Amino acid sequence: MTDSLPLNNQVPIGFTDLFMQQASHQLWLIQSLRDLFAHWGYDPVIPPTVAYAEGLSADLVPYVYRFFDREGNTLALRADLTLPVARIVGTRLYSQPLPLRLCYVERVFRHVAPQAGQRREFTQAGIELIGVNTPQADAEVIALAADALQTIGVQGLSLAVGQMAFFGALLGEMELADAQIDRIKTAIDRRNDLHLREILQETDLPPSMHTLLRALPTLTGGREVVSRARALTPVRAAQEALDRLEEVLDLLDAYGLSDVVLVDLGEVRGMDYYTGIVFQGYASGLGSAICSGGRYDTLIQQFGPDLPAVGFGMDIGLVRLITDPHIPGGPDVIVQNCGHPSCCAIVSEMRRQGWRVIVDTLERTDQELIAYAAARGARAAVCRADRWLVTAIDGSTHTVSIDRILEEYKTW
Amino acid sequence: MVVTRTVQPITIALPKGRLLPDTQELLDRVGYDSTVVGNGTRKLIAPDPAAQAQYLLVKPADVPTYVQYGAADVGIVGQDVLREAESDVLEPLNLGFGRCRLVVAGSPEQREMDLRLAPHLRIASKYPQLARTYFQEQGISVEIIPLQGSVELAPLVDLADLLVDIVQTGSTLQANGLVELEHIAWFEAALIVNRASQWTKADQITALVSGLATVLDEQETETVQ
Repeated sequence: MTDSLPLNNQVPIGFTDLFMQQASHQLWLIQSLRDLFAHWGYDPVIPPTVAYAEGLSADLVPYVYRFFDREGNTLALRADLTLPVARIVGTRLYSQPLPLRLCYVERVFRHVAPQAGQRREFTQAGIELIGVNTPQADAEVIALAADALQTIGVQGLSLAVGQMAFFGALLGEMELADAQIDRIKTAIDRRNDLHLREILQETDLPPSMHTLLRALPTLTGGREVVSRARALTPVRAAQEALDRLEEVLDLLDAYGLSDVVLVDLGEVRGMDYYTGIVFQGYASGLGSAICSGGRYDTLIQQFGPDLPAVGFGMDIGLVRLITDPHIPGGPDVIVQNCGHPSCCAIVSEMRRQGWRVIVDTLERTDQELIAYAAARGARAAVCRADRWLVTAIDGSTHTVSIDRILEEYKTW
Repeated sequence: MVVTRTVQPITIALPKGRLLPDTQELLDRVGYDSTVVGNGTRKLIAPDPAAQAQYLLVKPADVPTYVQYGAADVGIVGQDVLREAESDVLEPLNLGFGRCRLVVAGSPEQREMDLRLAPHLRIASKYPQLARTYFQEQGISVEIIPLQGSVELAPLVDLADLLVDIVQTGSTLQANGLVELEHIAWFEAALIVNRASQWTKADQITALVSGLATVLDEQETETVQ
């Protein structure tokens, strides 16, 4: 074994420092999404980072960081936001006028293998629309996800929309053990027909059911998929699930999304609490889903009244990998420190008007200040501030009188 | 807000080595000329403008990585490598070539041995994950000794008690005085697809998958006849 490396100068595996351009990019994404959610009428909610490790979603259990408080309770770092938001709604907000529109941009923690852009701490942005079970609500959430991805500059978007209730209706017609269902789901999820056939041969299902389940991985593509699915089964609940899917697809057409929306009836995994419409967003340059969401009508009743809900979330760290917005960083102007009250007032006014102004704290000479301004990418250096000698970054130098400076700096 | 879709070429990861000739022949039958890489060209990446595709030539064990990360949209790889890598990719097609078996092998005397009674078994393998899983499923605790090649050597020099490896004809085992003790699984070459590409390049991928499926069906029919 090699000697262990000192840890004090490292971050734990799966965690990341963000600084300079990446930190600005991250904050820009967070702010852009908060603004966008607000424009769609969603109110922020900020749950605590830590919760009791109870009632966790089975899909997340393997990834949850757990520890003990001094009373001996097991605590968990939050691994998603849907569960705490469901708790807040189920215990506190349920009597507010419905539907509730809630949003968050918060950090979550999952002990995942740090690969393909996944980190153990990441920022999740998402929304939950609670208290309505209508196609309009499903479509609003999908359209909002599309708007969010467009707004933050994600290219080559595709949205795969599925319907868990369709698969649920088919399963309702079959007698299968949980372990069998799990293996069937895995084979369908991986589009592995051969493996699916092998699993089905081990079950007591009639051949007609084999055909039906083996069709699921092929039920992906355009609107015609829904008709193909309809022809496969007369089961009423399955037909109703498809009715709902078509209503949502029609509404998404009206949102202008017909070109990027695809149908995915092969989506059978998802989070274990999904009950209806589900969707995943994919984008150029990223090998995994960039956002995912769906309807979960039975989660909130674990905490309080029975309220239907639909929502989505996205990992901002993944978005950062595939977007490159122009975010101005660094200062606009660097001013020599002269200490005159009138000069300080001018600097304050520039800052109030939104300029990023650095006042030198090193008593640099003119040449040093100009070089520093250039190195920091500032648009101008202001030397000998009592006379307001301005050197623009292109090298041109001129003098501005103190009473005109606040007018002129806008042109630098 | 009208959002539109763009069409981009697909990237196909090909495995260097024994699966390459069959892979290239199969792709050729569906109109993809992948001979622009390999075959003495020394090129590791090359475009195929006619098919709106480009090819990457990579080590077989790296094919699942390229595809899972989306550096390639699809790949052709042996299921042995795929299972070992535990990659999160789609596997829509088995390709019918490169068939081989994963087995437990050892000396002829070990035929009579009950593996459950061995307190500590050392297993040499190029497939440490698959070997571990196989024994774990039977509740047998083993020590896995990961090797990169020539696994048959390990029992002969007492590095390991048994080995887990791929056999095609069994001649390498035989030449080293070893025999197959237990069959674990059949493997063959498979087409794998990146989860995102399935949607972002849906048309091209569907065309490739259904094209290959048709050719494979024809092959099967010919064989049966």
